[in-house]
Amino acid sequence: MSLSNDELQQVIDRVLAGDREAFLEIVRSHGLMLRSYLASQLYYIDEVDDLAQETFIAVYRNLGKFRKGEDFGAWLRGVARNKLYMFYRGRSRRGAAMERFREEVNREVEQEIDGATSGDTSENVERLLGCIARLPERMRRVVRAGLDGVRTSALAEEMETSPAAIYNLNYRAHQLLKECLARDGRTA
Amino acid sequence: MTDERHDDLRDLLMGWQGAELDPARQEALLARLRSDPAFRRAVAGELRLAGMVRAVQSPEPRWLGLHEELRIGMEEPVPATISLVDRMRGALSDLPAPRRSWLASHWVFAAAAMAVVATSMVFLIRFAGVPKGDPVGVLVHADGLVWSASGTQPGQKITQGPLKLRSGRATLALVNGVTLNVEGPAVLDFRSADQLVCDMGRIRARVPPCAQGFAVDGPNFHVIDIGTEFGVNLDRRGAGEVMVFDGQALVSTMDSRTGGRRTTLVRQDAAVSVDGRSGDILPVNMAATRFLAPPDLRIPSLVLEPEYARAVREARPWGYWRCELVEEGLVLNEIDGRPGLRILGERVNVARDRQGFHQLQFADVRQVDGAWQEGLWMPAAGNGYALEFWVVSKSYANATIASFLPTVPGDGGTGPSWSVEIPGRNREAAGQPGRLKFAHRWPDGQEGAVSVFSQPMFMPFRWHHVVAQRSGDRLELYLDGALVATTPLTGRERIAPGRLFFGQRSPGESDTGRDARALVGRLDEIACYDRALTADEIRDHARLGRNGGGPEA
Repeated sequence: MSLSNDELQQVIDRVLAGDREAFLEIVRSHGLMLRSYLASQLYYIDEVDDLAQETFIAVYRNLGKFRKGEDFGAWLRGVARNKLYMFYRGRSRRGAAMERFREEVNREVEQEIDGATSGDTSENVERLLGCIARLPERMRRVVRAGLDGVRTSALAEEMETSPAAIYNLNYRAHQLLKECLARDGRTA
Repeated sequence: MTDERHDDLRDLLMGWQGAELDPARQEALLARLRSDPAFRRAVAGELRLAGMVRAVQSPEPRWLGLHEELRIGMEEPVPATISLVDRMRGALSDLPAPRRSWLASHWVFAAAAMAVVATSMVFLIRFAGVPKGDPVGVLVHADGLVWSASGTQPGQKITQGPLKLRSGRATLALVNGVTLNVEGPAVLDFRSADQLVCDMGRIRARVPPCAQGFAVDGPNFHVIDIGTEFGVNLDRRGAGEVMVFDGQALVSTMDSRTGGRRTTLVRQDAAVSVDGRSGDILPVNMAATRFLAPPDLRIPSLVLEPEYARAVREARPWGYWRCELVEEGLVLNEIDGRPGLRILGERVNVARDRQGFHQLQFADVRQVDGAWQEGLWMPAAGNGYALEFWVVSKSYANATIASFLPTVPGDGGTGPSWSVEIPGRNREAAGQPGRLKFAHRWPDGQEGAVSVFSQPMFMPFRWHHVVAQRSGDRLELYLDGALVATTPLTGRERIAPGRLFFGQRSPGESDTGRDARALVGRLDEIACYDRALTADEIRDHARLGRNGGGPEA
């Protein structure tokens, strides 16, 4: 469950007073939202988790700089944005061609992604699970499998179709998921 | 959206998700992104949703680095060594027989002892230098399995360290004999074969006697086996459920309010809910169906070329039991005038596989049975001897596949002269997990022996061709046609008349105390020779057989 602004401020005060474990309440409240934000810009989930952890560590160390009344989620995403920049800088020189393409895309849509994710909370992200469960069976299977180059081919073979058809299914599944979230009034 | 923009959006997302795009197409899409704000917004919307889908379906990270930063769990620094864990586990295995009934009747004291063990292991695991990369077992079977990162395939090793399942089910055979079933999403960390840390997932563990003390470590609670089989459900918030299906298990938590530790003995068919944060362990009424059910894995067929039997006969065995000729519980010897194998007890029977061929089957029940050679075999002095067979085991549990028992007990007692074993979690096999062992003892019956261990590991649920032989003054062990271990003998090992016994250590073992080291699996095409076989003969025999697929549920 996401913390309200008042609850969040109380937790921050406790952490700053020395209750280190209380910071985990912030992690539980904002972790899924942060990982979702990073996963919109990083392909490998292990990299998402690593950067999410680095972000939380940086936030913990600088918690005293957070100003009461500010948007904590935006502040958190800002710290994550800086971590992403450093990550790209360290990787771009040795990345494969498709990784460079991915990073170039992310750079071009950086502001739009920040705008699109500004209202996201961990609660909203978690409700997506219910929407995924209501997808038609073939779409649900594609969405749950996740797509990368190798797995797409294997999945296409399993489902007796082409990789292009798998991507089309995934795209159509996303439209249904957006409609599902919008029907519940939980998306911008 | 226009068709053109739809195609551009689809292609861009495909490229982002790993599909190959030619460089010209990449440049065209990037140019569109730079010049078309509506297209940028559409792409951002798709990437945002893709990120949400991936994050919500992936397991929660363990945040280990963050915990270190927050210095959580560092209240009692402990100088830790892995050897202390081993000594405690050794202490568990040294408990006097009968282990389970003693523990059950003295459970308060056992609980206190186990709580000490559990507490110590928590700190040891956090702070000890756990070696990375040692094998803890193998993946035996996968059902719709999707790994979080690059995945292990059935037949491949699982090593110490983290393991994340996104979805599906996995059956693992651990080198200590434990059979572990896991359903994703699951976040696991194998600290060793005896210690599994789990942050999320559904688990079912079947633990043989040699692996007693196997533990599953959840967020702030621990489940330690002191029986046979238990299940654990753990959700992403850290709430746990534990049920014992056979035997008993010890569940302990730390009470966050008082700082004390709570421990509960959970008996067979009982379940508890566990709150790691508050430390509460509450008995609950739960159906076993709420927990992961193990797949009923079938052993694959043993496929032999038609000329296999002829090849064995041409090698002139002293005894050859194919398990196709059986009369009133006696597996007849294919060699005229030679003794058959008598099936003792109900645990052993001659089973038929899907191809219609027969094998000796050793069931997983707590009885003391095997197959016993009627009549004596006296390997000729000077020529050596060889024992050849095909074997499949369902786990790495401590088991004796075959032993040769002298008719006259030796100075060391009534134990075997030599034996082929799966040592399991055994101090003698320390550093040799998942191997086959061939041991020759002198005097007969003594625990000390000249032993060899197979390299590499053998695989459960897979037929293996094995030849264990004495060749001159050397012991040799062949696995699947290759020499995998050899060592010189001391020169004092004698060859005396005796009988072969299959399926456990000896007919005299009792199941009320000492572990009978019973094989759970199948044997087929057993042959013994009055001489050592040549490497060519062994390789040729092995090539004429293979597994008919992997284990099936």
